[in-house]
Amino acid sequence: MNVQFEERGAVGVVTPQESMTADNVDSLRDQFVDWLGRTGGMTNVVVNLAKVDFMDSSGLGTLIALLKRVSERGGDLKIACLPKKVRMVFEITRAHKIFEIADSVDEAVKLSQ
Amino acid sequence: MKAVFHTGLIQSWTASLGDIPWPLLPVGNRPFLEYWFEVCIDLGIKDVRLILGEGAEFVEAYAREGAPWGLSITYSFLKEGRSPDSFLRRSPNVWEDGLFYLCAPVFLYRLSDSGEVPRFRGGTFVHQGQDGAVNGLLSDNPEFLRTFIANPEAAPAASSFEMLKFRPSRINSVKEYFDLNMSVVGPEAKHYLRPGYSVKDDVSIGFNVILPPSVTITPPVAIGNNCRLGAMTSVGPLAVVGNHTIIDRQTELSECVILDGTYVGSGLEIRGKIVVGNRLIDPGSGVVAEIDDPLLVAPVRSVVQWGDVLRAVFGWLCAVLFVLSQAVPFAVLYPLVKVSRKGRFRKTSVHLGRGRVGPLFEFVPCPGRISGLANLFQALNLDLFPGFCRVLTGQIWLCGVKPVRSPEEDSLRRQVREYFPGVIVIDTDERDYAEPGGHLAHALFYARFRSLFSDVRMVLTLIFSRPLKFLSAREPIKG
Repeated sequence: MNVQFEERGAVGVVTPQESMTADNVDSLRDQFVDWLGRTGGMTNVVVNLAKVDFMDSSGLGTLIALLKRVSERGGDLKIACLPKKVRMVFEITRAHKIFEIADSVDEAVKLSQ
Repeated sequence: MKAVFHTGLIQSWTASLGDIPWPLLPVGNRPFLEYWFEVCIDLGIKDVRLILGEGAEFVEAYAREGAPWGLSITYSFLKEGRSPDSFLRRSPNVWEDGLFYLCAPVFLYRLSDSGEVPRFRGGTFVHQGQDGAVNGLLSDNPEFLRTFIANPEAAPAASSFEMLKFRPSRINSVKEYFDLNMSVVGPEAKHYLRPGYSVKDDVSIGFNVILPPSVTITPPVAIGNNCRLGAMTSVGPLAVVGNHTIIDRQTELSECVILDGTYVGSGLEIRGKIVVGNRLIDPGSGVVAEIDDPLLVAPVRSVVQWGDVLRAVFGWLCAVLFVLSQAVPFAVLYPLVKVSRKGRFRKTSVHLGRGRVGPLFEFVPCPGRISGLANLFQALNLDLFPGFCRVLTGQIWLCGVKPVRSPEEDSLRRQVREYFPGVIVIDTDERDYAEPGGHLAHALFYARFRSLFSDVRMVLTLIFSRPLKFLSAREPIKG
């Protein structure tokens, strides 16, 4: 899975470039763990879902696993740019009650600082 | 008095709701069409004519002869490109005794407190849409009916349906369909919902529904037949659950419509949405999300139609045999036909299967140059050789209807939901297709009556008819 990682000050922004399904979320998790290990002091993360047009239960499970990993470091994981179709999946699974969701990456970064 | 209902007009808003024809879309705990039948019963009308179109086989299979409602139902097909009232003009005298006519998805809300309809004592009542077109009428006035049938726009003014304690409301969008369900299952549920197993306290539960004791039901709720609700499920308020649905444990349903044959996974919260199979629809925004995850939502029934699988396998095997047996004759004869200018293949853009558009090669004998060579070429079915090769790729069926051209016939393609473009077509007479509505009628006919048996018959007819025609008459072979 193609994932972009960038650092905006003390906040990391993760941008998956395609759908998050059972076929590819293992790769996302591995890359995320790798990247988090390399950025020692980073605690807060924003996941930008603008390019994710579909997410299944495995994708949601991975996001929750990432949230847990970030929380263990004392940080927080926020979601930005949730497309309407993915938002519907968040709503029916109640994931929107677990994550803090922002309309844009900038807003999510500001909330994380 | 007779009733004429048009159920065949395409309603584009229903596309996201799956393959259910709009007359059979559930409203509360039964199909839309049944509410029209109930009004007929209340008005004392027994003779009902349904004009069919897309989904004809499903509507016919549901309504049959009308015995469950005490009605006598007969059927006609909607002709392509003709207005709904053109059917009435075919035999205008038949309707002079009185006509109840609906030609759009109009729901007739009952305005009286008891839900009962006052006895029809004659008169003329018309419902017009926002565009001024007549969506429905009820009249026993022969003069009015004659004028209306001759020219609907010239018909004199009439009373509105409110005088009969009905409020007609045309459904134009998924949002309006959702709102209709919410109002039908709401406080006035007793006017609309069929009793089923229990209809008290604004809860209607159908037959054969498994409800564990830990299920919480908050009225108003309508649950269809043959449903299974998991432990600790919460249903309502304002939930419509269709027939043959499975709601897994700890799921909460409220202000939602779950259409027939849907599985809803465990621990979910469905609020303000329509769920049909693996499709989640937000009625407010119209956004449709296809969820390819059977842990969340999924169709209960298998989407595989085994009859079609058999037809596909049979068609593919036959195509292999045709290609193997025709390859050499084609390689020999086609260059001769082309060099002697007796005919050629023309590339046509057509609608193939699975929503694709692509080229298809059609043999065109040169006018005025029909000869024994071109006839022999067609008698051996070599004009279909490129088509048989296409069947091997799975883009087209061996047997079916003549492929719809693109972009010239795009509107026709939109009217046919179950589309089976084939190399061997059900009727090879071009005149049938050229007739107004002919192509649509063929497509609907084949979708309704397709079977392995019919395909075998079409293949055998093709193999024997053309060579026999060639040997007996030596006539130019068409098609």
